[in-house]
Amino acid sequence: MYKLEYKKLKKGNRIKIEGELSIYSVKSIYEEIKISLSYKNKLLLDLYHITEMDSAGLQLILLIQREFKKYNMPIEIEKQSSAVSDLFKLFNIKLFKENF
Amino acid sequence: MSDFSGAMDTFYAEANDLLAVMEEELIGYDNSVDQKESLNSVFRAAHTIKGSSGIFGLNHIVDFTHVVENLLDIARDGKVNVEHKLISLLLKCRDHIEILVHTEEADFKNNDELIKQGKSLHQSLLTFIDDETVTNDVLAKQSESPNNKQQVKSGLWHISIRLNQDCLRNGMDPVSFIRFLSTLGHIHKIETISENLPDFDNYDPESLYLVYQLTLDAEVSQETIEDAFMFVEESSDIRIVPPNSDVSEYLSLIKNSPEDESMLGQLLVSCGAITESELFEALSVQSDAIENGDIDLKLGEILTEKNNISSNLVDGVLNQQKEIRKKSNIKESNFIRVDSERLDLLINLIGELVINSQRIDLISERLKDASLNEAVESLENFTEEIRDAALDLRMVPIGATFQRFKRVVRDTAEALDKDINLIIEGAEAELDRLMVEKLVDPLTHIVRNAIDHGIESSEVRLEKNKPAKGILKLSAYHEAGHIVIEVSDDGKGLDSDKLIKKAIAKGIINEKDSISTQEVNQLIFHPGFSTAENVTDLSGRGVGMDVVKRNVEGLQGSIEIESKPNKGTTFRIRLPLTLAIIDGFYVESENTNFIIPQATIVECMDFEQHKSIDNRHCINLRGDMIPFIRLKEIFKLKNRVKTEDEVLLSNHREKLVIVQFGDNMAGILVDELNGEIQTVVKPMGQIFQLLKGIGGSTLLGNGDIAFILDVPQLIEVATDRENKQHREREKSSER
Amino acid sequence: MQSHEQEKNQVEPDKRQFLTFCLGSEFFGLELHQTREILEYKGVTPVPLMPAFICGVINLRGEVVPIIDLALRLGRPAITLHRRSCIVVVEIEVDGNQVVLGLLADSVSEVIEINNNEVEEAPAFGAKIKAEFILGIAKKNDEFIILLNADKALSPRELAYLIEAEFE
Repeated sequence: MYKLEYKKLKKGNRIKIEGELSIYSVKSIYEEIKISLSYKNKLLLDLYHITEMDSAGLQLILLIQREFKKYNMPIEIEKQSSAVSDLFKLFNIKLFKENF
Repeated sequence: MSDFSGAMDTFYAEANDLLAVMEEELIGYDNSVDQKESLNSVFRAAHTIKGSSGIFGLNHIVDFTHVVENLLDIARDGKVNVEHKLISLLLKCRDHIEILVHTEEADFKNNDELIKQGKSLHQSLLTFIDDETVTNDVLAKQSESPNNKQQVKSGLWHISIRLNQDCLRNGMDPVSFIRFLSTLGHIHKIETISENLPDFDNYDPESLYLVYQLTLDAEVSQETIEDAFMFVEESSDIRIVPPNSDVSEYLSLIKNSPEDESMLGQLLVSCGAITESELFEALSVQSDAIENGDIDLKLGEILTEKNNISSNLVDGVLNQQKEIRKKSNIKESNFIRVDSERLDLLINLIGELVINSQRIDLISERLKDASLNEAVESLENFTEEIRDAALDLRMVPIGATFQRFKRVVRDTAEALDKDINLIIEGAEAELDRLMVEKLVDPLTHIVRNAIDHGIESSEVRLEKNKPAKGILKLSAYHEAGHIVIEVSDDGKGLDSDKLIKKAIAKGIINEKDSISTQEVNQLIFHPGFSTAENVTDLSGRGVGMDVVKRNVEGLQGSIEIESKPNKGTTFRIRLPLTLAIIDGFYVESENTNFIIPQATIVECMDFEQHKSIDNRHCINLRGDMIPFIRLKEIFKLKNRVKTEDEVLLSNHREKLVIVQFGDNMAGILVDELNGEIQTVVKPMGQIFQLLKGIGGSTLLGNGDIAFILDVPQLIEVATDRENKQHREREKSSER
Repeated sequence: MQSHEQEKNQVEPDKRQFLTFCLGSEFFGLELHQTREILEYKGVTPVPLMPAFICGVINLRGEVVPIIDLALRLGRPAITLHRRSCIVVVEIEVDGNQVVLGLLADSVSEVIEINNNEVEEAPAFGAKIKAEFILGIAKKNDEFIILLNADKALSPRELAYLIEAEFE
């Protein structure tokens, strides 16, 4: 399954997702993020402990990215696991940093 | 990664459907009005199976089916003579595909037998082709064919993938498609378009909003790519533009994209489909149009206009797309597939509900509160309706089962070199799915038996002035809460003399016994009885008909035979519509509770001794002689069996329930009639399987257990006993 | 349930738990994971035509469960019913199906843990029970406990044969 951690740090808020970011968990992850997400600070994504990601998971990351772009607030992927980068590569998703 | 389990289920279900189509079309080919179309259907089915197997990476299926498909392809072009032998071979190939579909690829690789079988089938297929070049075509991985879609083209393919929103939920992940495509060639460029993502608050995390545009550098046919999407759900939109297509085709792609054109435009430019200046020109026209207030004019339209595309071309592209959509629409129907276990659970729960509502009814009767009684009554009515509706869910038409016999008939007839026409009637008659499953074996046996022993060979038939082609008829109809299934042939009929001789030889009956025609016919259900002079491969080993009878009785049904010499034989199976819940009549005998299935009851009455005839176990009911049994006697209940005299002397008047099953009637004597009741049948389990006359048990409202009577068996017992006693009496009077 | 499965999964556990009960003067043991519950004996509904070792059926929360006189089944005199008579509900697996049966017992004593090395092979004779019905014999507190092989001794197929034999 998955584990979600939301931390307020000096350099921004960090969401750390561990385990599965897939169709099986994406609904609850989305609900959790929805409650805690703040657009007032920079968002750091720690995707290093994601073991599995599918299109549903990828889509959620893209959604978060788009929301932050709307508020002109930076978002950054701190680290990512191979499960994540493989998928980014397959779908030609540019790392967020380049967008800012 | 996300697994395919949901999609796999669809694959299996669909493969089974397609295999059924193949079978039906192949069997019906000889008599088909439009043989070309039949062949086309077979081809399409094989093609789809191959395509979807490819998506799931089931190469063992792809490899085998590929050759079959290619042969079918040239056959429909008229390059192969489609003779009876080829159809038989294709049927075998179809069976092989069926085995492959149900074999894991890993297991296949270790199954030399199966691999060998596949190879030999391939070899046999090739013998039907005399032209060597054609042979090579068939074996070729991708056959060259004038069909544009099958033509292999190399270069940059443009593919736009817009999947159904629900696909993720259904276990289909675009990742799989992209991965599959990447096995065909190199994914040159891919754009993930996320602009359809809704606001964060309106986002459904399990829906798919992403759209993919990609260019694939590959040397494949359009068909191969289309096949990758064979399994996408309806309302998905997949567009494929082959390499070196006319600019107009790319533009039409843009035209049909609901997303922002500039992004698609850029993509097309980046893969060289259109030039920057073409795009720029189109975009500037667009901005002009917007300035002029013509906001609706879309980039695609502008480009199309500018390039003056012939409407033919656009139509062509659109038709292609339609075709893809049509393929994915095969699944479109008003049916949902439900795991049968879930259905069974529901029916079990409703069974409990029925029992509980009866308990409430008992309590409310005791309380004698008018409004409570009323409420309980309406609760009971609804429960009954829910029960009926739930049972209805499990009802399936028998037609599908009958269809299966086309194959059995064909194979059996072929093996025995007989010419037989199968007629199916009443395919729409419904019965419980559970019954259907258990009916296949006995029916198969009867059908084979009819072909083997019933219907004569063509020569013999002609000698007898019968048409050379024998007729086998499967029919079904509903009758008084039962379904009746008949298997009839126009063959030689049962030979009574031979049956009797054999039965005497086997010690089943006595030489002196005089038995009725029906009894003679019933002899073939006797264990170890077989009339075939030459034991054949297919039937007549003497195990079978008794098993058939037991199977049918296991389903609370009965079987009877009607036979006329040289006119034919009819097997008539009568079954209840369902085994789960039945309406019953609650009776008591020696404090033991019994349920008599309502559908079998003709009437109830006080038992009046004067109606019984000559001290026999028989009464005269309005002129009919009807045998009866006393439950306490048959089941040796409690105390010793009372003698007739004691019954006469006792004050209590027994009740007689007249039951009917088929043409047979009998009376059942009980102590008490307690009224109608809905019963949930609880099987008695293997331990009690030999208990004749009791088909199951049920719980009464107060929690007590009642036994459900197996009326056909009881009638049989009553009739047998009466006949035997009657004969004995006659014998003794003769002396 | 889960703990049962775990037990099953262990290939050859050193220790096994048995529910012991009394039939007449003898003690018997059934593997704990095969027993489901113990019921007070409140009468049974006799099934017509059945041999004596089939006492009848009971309604166990909506399930119709056959009750067997194990003493008769094992060739001993029938059990005499008394106030403390009880029913041990056992659950065995036959061809992948769960079969639930009730056994009539004089009393249920306790659950004991028996080391495999404490189990002796059933004597070829003396126990007066078919060897295949017995897993072995264990000694606990100076009492011999006959450990039953429920799958064999209570196999519905076997019971059906016995009934058939009685019919003929």
